[in-house]
Amino acid sequence: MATNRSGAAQRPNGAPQTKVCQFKLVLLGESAVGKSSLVLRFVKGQFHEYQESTIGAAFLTQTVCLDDTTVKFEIWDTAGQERYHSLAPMYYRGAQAAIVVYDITNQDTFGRAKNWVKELQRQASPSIVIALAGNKSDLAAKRMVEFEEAQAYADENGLLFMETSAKTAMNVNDIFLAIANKLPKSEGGGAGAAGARRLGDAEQPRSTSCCK
Amino acid sequence: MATANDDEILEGFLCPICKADLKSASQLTSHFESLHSEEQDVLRSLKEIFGKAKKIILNNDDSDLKETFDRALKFSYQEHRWLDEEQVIGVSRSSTDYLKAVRSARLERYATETNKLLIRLDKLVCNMPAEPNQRKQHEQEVVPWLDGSSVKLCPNCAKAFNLTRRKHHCRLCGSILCHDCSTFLDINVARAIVDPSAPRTSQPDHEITEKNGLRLCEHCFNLIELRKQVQESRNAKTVLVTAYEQMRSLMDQARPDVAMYEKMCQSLFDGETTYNLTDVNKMRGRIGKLAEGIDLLSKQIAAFPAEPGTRQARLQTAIRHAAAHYIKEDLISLRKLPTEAQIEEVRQQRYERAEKQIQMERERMERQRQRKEEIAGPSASRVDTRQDDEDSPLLEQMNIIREYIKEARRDMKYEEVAILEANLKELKKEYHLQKLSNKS
Repeated sequence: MATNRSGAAQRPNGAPQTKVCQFKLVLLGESAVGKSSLVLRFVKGQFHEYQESTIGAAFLTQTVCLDDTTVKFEIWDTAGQERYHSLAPMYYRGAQAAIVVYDITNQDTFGRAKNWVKELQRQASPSIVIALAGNKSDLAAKRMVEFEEAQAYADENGLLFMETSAKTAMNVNDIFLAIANKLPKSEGGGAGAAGARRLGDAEQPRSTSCCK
Repeated sequence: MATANDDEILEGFLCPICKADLKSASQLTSHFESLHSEEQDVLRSLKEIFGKAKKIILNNDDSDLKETFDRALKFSYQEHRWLDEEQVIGVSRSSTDYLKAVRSARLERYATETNKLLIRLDKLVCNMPAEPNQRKQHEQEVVPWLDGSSVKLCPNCAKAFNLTRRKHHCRLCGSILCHDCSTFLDINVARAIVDPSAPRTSQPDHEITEKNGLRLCEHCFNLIELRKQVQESRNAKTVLVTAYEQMRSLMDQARPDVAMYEKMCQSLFDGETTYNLTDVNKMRGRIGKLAEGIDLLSKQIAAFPAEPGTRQARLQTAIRHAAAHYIKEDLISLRKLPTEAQIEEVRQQRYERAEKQIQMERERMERQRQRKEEIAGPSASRVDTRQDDEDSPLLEQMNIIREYIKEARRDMKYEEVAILEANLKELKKEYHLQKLSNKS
């Protein structure tokens, strides 16, 4: 079911009248909670049991179709290791959405996720949409973080919240779609300096003229 | 492009704006700061985070070493632009107190260590027996030697001790070392260090060996050497002091010269023939030269660089003023010399006076003789007992003294000239009296 939906989302919507919006999304969270796996599942539908630890950051894009708009996610999957912590502000700066990931089998990662949320609220753009993802829900037997606890925390801070599993693909697409839904799609609606950008012809030269 | 992005997963130190892989976190940070700093307001809030990040990453990240040359070339332009911007000094904090605390602790440690060594050195060098065995015993009484039975290697150079490389002991700390690692301190030098008032011996030319020196380890030797240097620098005279001492010695030379000059002048005015005008002129020239020297030195002292307003600056100007005053009052304002004509006149007067006196004396004697003749009647005709001038010992003596005077004059020893002249005068007088008595 999930793959079907993701397949539908990937299909480019050729209708000229549909809006195309581009959003910058950043993934944050403790090391080895499954950020990269989550993204890989969302973008490629794959899952690697032994996912390599991310160095610096990874960049992926994925397009999803909503009722009348096409949303293109520019996903910045940051490295969770502490030594890369200082790079994170660079990536969440100007992001319209963030997914803070924790591992439900590890209480510490939840604490770390709370810190990330705090940091985003303080430093990131004020209109940023934050989602909290309790990953590895397939390992519910080893659960250390209660669903209710996390839900309560999310409600308190106005976060989207889902428990996900990159391994079983549970809720992976849902959480991205929920974010896409929550993001302001109107041209003027993009609150803050870094609102959603209309993807148009002007975007093309920009991508070719970059320093790559 | 977009499809490529969809397929590929970029990973690494990606720039969030242009997605270039910067290879290392520090490069990424600097690239981001320099190239994408247009959004200043956001940047400012992040800047300190970047600064902190840079520090952490520079210390921790090994991948920094992977900086490639072409990458450096590529971004040198942006980095230059970044450097061109004038940087404002941010928040600063004085670390002087911390420095002082660290320094004083360290100095304290050195001072106690050095003092301990000096006390030992004092005990060692005072009444040190000359006989080798007694000396060894004396040394071990002052500083207990380390037991070397378990020491297999020289602690300094880590070479093994054997038959040829013997164990030795530092005489100040008692530690073990090999011959190559030991340094020798000359005993005379050691005495001078312990007792700075003792006369300084010049550096010995001969090589210092175990016999005339103390075997020390490098550490002790350095501490002692440091103390020696401190002592020497304390005793060393500064340029200023040397110049001042030179000036004082010139002044001391000038004082008797000035007194002599006054005396010579007076004698000329009195019409005496003891000194002639050229002598006095020469003397004047000498005083002038001394004055010049004093002037030059005092100027040097005044020109010595010193912070204006400090005591040193005040002292320097005071020295200069005192020297100038001394030259003006004592050396330049010498009595003017009489002219040749004046001297001649004075001499003439004196000569006439003397002639007159001699005339009167003769007349008196003549009268006395006539009276005697009247009483005794005409006596036998007088025998001319006049001796040949050349034979007279008095004349000979006078010639010798004249030679002496000439010599003394040449050497500008005017005190001697005066004495000799007086002597000569006495001889002349004696000679005249002798002649007169011969005649009578």
